[in-house]
Amino acid sequence: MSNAISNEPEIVYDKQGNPHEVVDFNNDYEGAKLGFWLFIFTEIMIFGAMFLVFGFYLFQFSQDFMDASNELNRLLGGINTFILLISALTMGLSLVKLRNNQVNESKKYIWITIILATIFLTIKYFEWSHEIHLGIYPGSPTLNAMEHGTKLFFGLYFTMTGLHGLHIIIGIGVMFWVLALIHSGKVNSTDFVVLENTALYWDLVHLVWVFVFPIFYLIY
Amino acid sequence: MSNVHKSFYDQTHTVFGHHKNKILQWIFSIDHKRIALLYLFVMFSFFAVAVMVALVMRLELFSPGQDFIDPNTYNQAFTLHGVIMIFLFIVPGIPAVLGNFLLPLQLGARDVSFPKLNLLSWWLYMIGAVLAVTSLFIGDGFADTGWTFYAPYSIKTGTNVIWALSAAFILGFASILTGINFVATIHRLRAPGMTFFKMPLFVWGLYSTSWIQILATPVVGISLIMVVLERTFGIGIFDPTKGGDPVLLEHMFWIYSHPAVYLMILPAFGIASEIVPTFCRKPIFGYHAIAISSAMIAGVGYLVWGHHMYTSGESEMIKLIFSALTFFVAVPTGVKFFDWIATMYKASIDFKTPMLWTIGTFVTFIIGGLTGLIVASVGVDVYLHDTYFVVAHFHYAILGGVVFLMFAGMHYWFPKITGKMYNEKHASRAFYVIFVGFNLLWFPMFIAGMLGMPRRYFDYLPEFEIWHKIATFGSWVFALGLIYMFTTLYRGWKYGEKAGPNPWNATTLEWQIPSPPQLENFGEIPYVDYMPYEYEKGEPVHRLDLSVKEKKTHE
Amino acid sequence: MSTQNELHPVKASVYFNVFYLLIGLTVLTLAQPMVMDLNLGSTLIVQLGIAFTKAFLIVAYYMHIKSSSSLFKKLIYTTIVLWIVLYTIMAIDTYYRYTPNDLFR
Repeated sequence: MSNAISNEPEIVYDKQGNPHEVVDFNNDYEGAKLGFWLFIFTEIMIFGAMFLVFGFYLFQFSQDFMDASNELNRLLGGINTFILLISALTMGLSLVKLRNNQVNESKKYIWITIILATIFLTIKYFEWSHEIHLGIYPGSPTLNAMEHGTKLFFGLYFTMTGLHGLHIIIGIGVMFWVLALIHSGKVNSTDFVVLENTALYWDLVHLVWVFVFPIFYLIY
Repeated sequence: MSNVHKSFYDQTHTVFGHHKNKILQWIFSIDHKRIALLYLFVMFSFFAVAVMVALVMRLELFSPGQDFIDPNTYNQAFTLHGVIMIFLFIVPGIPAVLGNFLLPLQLGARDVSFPKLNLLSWWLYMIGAVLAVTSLFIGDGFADTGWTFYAPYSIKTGTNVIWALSAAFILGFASILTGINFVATIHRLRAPGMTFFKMPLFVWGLYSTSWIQILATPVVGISLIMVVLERTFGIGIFDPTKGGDPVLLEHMFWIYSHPAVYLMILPAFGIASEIVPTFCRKPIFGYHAIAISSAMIAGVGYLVWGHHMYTSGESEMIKLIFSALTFFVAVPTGVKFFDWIATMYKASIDFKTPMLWTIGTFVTFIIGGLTGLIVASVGVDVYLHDTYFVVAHFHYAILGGVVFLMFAGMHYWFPKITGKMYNEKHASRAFYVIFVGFNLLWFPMFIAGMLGMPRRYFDYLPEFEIWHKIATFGSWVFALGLIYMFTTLYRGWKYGEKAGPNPWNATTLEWQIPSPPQLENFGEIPYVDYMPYEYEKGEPVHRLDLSVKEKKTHE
Repeated sequence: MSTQNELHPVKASVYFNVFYLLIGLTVLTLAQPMVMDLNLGSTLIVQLGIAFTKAFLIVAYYMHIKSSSSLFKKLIYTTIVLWIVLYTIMAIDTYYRYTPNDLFR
């Protein structure tokens, strides 16, 4: 017997003669969603742990953290927040369009999401360049001469925004992959769980930023 | 001519392509049964390496003073032993081998939910293993921090800490993917009619374990990443000279590593719950209690990690809270032991090797568990922390609990996996040799610890010498017993008698198909509306033949 | 996929409505420090309150939890409860470790 997708579901009968369908693991929408949600839980645990570390040091070095927060560029950070928010919308819309069999519209929205994500990364690059230009980066002599709290704030800033940025880069890669799958017809209006999971992933990336932004930028 | 007499050894599904080469057919196979065996062989190879490292350590400790390895090498040795045993052997452990093989069979499924992800887990495991081993031969050699990687030493030492941590991170990822696979499988692929409270208890153990794998592993993953970043970029998170706090790393590390020990023991308890009813030939006592206790251990196990840190500088208030919670988490385990012993009460017990191992485990794990409660008491632990008492405690619990039950499970499911039966006489003798060697090796350490012998010490005062000598002698008996056992199993596989589908007269679904199983596991999936351990007058109530038959019309 | 026909129909309007709410909340977050001069504790309460509201909207609507089976809802609650417990324990230790309120002092 091959594991190829068969159109005949396997039926099992109980003692009363009622039929029960056996779930085919090769064709299991709920299972695919469940599996991806479990992966999202692992991401929540990762970022939750980082927030824990942040909270721990915020409690200890409150004034230093607040002063350092004042140094960050709220305009750029705020623009990035709006960009990511819009990108979450466009990602969700691409799923709606695909389910309505508007394939080209769906692809268009994915492209817009990719472009917005790239703009986010570009702005982040400028923010980082500014700090590094001032000599503020982990291990730098300038930073090492500053207060403990300031060192920790920027150490956590680069680490957490870096980790978040890494997830955005991965997300862009996944979006290109999904575009290819839609193009080849493997992801379509009846078999769309890959796009749905991609949208879930992007929502997670957005969700993390929803918390990262205020705790780093808005505690001044 | 017919396909039906072929087993999964003869044919397989691979992740891509069709291969003539047998080795490629194994390492690219997406059949959960083959993946289980891939894990088995690699894991036990590493187990052998770690045992040999331990034998070398014990040999060095036979007499005080330096004998044939220097102090820094000794530090690397116990780190290597710990990293291999924990990350490469016992954490993948029972889920990767017996779980992968049996979960779909016990549920009445044809594979796990994500077979390709399953193969990826194994490949990630291999990559992590290779990384860890490679670091032995590069630069300053393997990390010498202990497997617990405490800061600030792990940040300052020149040995290959980043290699070891990267390996641990990748291995953790493999563990997470296995957990995701198992949770999805258990939710989605149970046979029709099988509700959660009709699943075998081994599955309950795997389910609870998988939740720990999913939720706890990421925390240590990010902690290890932070140590890597600390070493590379000097972020300052755990570096006291920059305002960082080493105790925070201990918190983050143990938030995973304590639930990790429950991740180790829960599948093992599941194995005990399978073996006891089979060899007592009666339904297990307290099925619901055992199932719920597995979930409770997983849940409460998240709340006790601070008992590893009583002497590290946490607040007095939290020490009391952790101590109380640690006492509390022992209760569900007590429930399990009560139920197993109640099952054995007035039963006509068949003392075959799997049952011997299980009963032997009851002895050693009770010692391990009770000594755990001793060190869970803050006042006592102030004296016993970082002594040989703790070392003896966790070896009684992990080796005498998890590994012994893994051996029990290996003997129990040996006929199912291989289609052959091992020699009962030699297998039971091997058990006795290992059991005696085990106690000779570890029990003196309780005494040495109470007398003050510190752990991870390369050298010691002459007053401890006798205990070390007994322990080292015990290590030889133990190692000989292991060789005896593995030889018996190997010979059983090669030359043993053919075993039928159900040599133990057990009741769960894996015993209703041929040994070894066919590729698709089942010809027809049964409708399961009965409890898993139904015996009537010593005989299983439900006997089914679920093998793949010749004239099946559906694919 | 037989579950296809039973799936909750997805409308673009849901996405847009939530989007406008999220925009509004984001404007609030940015405005708060400029309009209200609060100490750190109160700032955190307001900011995290808004953040959690946004998070709820995202999880419930964008990530479809509101229209998913109860299994997914239970799983989310489990993860949230786990974090609440872990944060509480860490908070207890941090508080008592760095202040003179600890026991036996």
